[in-house]
Amino acid sequence: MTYPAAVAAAEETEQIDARMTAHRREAKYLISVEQARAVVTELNRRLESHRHRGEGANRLPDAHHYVTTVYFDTPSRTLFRAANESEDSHLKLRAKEYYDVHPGLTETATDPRQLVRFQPILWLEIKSRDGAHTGKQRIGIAKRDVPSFFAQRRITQEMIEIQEQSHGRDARAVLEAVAALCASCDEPLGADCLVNYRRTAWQDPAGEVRVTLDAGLAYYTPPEDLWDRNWALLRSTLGTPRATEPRRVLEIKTHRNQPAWLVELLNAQQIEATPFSKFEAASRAIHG
Amino acid sequence: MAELRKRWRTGLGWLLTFAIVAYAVSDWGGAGEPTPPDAVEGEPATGLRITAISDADVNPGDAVVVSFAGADPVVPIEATLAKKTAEVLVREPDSVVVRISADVPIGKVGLRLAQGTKRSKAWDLHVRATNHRKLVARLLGGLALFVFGLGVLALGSRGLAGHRLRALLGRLTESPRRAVGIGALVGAVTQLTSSSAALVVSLVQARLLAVAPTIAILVGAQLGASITGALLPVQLARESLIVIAIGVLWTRLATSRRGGAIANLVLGAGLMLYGLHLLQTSVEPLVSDPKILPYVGYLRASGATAIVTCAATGALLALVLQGPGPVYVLVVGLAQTSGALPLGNALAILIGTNAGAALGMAMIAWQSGAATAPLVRPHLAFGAAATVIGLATIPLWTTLATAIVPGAGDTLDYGHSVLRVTIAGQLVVGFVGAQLATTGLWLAVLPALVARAARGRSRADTKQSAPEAVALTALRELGVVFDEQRAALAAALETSCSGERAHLAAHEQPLREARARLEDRYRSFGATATEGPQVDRVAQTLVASLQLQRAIEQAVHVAELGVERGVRLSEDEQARLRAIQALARDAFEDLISAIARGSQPDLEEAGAREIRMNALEAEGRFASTLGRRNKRDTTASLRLGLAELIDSYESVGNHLFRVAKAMGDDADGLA
Repeated sequence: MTYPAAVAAAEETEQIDARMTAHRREAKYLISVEQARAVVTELNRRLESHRHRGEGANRLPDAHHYVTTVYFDTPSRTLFRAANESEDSHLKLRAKEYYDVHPGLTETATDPRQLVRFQPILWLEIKSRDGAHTGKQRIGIAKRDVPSFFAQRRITQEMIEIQEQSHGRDARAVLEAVAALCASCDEPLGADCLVNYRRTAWQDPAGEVRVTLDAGLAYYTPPEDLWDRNWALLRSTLGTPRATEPRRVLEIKTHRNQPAWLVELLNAQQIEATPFSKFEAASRAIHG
Repeated sequence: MAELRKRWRTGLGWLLTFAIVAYAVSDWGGAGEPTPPDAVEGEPATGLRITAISDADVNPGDAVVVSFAGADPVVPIEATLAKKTAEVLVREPDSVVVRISADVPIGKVGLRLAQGTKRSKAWDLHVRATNHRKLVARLLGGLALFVFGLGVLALGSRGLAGHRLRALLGRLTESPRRAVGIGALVGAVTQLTSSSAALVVSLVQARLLAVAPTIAILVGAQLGASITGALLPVQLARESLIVIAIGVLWTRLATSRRGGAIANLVLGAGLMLYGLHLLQTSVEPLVSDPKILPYVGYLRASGATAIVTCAATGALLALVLQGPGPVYVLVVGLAQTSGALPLGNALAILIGTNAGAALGMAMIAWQSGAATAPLVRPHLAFGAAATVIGLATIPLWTTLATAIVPGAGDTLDYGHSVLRVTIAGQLVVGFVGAQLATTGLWLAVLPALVARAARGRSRADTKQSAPEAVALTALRELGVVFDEQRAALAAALETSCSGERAHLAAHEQPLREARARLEDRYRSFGATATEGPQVDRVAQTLVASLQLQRAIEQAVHVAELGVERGVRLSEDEQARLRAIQALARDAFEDLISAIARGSQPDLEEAGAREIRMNALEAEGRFASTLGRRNKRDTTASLRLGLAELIDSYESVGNHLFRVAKAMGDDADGLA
């Protein structure tokens, strides 16, 4: 493949990824370890393993992909109560950090950081849900900008204006949504709880189906120095989890109906859709 | 260089062995022999005189050999002790054996010989009171040494043939007769019936051995353990300390696994024989004690009740002492020294061991779970049948024994005690004959029992998940291996820090055993047809554990080389190695604890430990380079020694992590 062709392919992949991230049908399942094993075997057969391939992506082989999500809420848990009251219609504000761990490097590493590949970017997302359809708007914010952005663990109108100048139209759309969310709350928003998990993803070439399996979910209280850290929010640096989820979270994202083989697989394994929110589970684990 | 050192050690070993043997067989001129007394004033000088006596310090009940001159060869000789007639046990042309009577006064007493009117001068003997406390201590110590010696002997046997034996077990046990033969070999090698049962039961648990042939193997193992105990060369008991010396010498100087195993065989045999010697010299004075004699009397009475009492005693002793071997030694000691045990009664005790040993083996099978529970009933039935048949045929065996070993048990040998040597041979013939005959009879019903067990097992198999059972057993065994690897690595560290190789001596053989276990288990896995994710995981763990074993052996080797090269570690270097060792110890403990809990090791923690070890190793290498610049330790050999030491720990750390990864549960199949 020539360089322009490779660039074109990468751009196409990004477009497919973006399409998958935008409005789609999303079904969620809580499954046992045994069910997960059967599902993984079938997914490996039917779909391609998927990983982020955008600019600055980690391309080293045998990476274990991890996600640390910071969920925001008000001191009186306005967003949690809203989500709790209506399963079908609510908003979530969260910042996600992705990092990869390479266990294969353990035998040569002299510092745990040598196993980790990450970009110092937090993905600020507003996730909305309307029935079975979900939508997500997001923007990457350089991690070094986060301390000022989230000074005093609050989002202010002034900060929104500064970010708008740096990130243009996309930022504007997201930040407008954030601003709207902030305005709708009587109290300031701040980091409320953290969730860490290992994510494995599969996707078909056309971008019609994406399946993710999240394992090892652990819920944490936000550390005091959350925004002062200049290193990835590694699981091992978040302290003792307040709770863990032994089951796996299977998410199937499609633009249309699920393919027949997938429906068959779910039926064979007696897997049924379950309403589950990482935010609510984490908030409950932290606040009760 | 290493080869030259090996040859040097072997040469030194043989030289010292020859020196010890030469010393043992040389006559050094009777040092310590009593000398003839000075003429006692006023005693008439006649032609009869005592020229020597075997021992002047005696206890009541002992026997002494009195050499004399100037006697008429035809006229009987009498002996007096403290002016009372003493029993002359044997008369030879120029010596007599005189028993020191039980009621002889304590202290200095005169021994005289008389022949008609001729009387010898008095020879002073020092009679000491029997120290029961000391005798009981000798009895218990002798028994303990015997049992310990059995263990060391078994260790040596397993080192020589153990792993081959295990491999053979699975293949050569298709017919019940062959299984009995293989079982006899197992019993002979492991010596104690409890050890045999534990070995065989573990193979059944691992599904390397079916239940049906195992019934026959257990019968054979009981036979093997009985017969080997009976065939022990008891006449060598007096030379046992020499045997022990040679055994210890070779455990230190052996340069190969085979040599180490042979050294253990010799040492084990020596310990057993010395234990036997202690038993022989303590049983007789004890049982002739008036307070104890009535109890022994129960065992020497005639009639069915006495025979049953003897059998019950044998069963109890075999259960407690974990096999018929130690009981055989006790019975021979009692029969040889006291004369208190007739041949028939002694045989009844030995035959009773069948029931006790079978009960002990059945208990092990029963405790080991559902897989081995079907072994319990057939083996208990064998124990009961062998006891009943053996007891019923005692007259046959006593007749046969006295026919083959004539002398009615009255041929004597003299030391501190008088030994009835013939009865030992008669007991061997009687007991071995009874055991062979009962086992032969049992072979007639064995096929039916085996077939029944096979049917039962096939039903049980459908209920149990075979791959899981195989994996579980293999993991349990790995726990033992990791424990020894951990101990050997700790000893290697102490050797490196102290410059003393003695720390490693105790771990050489167990480490070899650990390797043999791993290799056996790995081969067994290759031979099994079971499949499944758990079995695959254990197979990977076994490979990683073998690599870890190699790394530990290398660390031990490098530690020994360091001592030979004169590598001296600075305080900083010692502290660093101890820190690495502590991390390795934690890693081992995590693995062992995961196995014990039936869970997986914490992979994140294992990775973090490995990284900390890497960092310490890198720090060690850097410091080592600085040391060179500072010209602290100048020779290349010393630098190389330190570098190799660090490399060996790095390798151990890497393989510990790989074992953890292999054991870690990739539950989702994500890898």
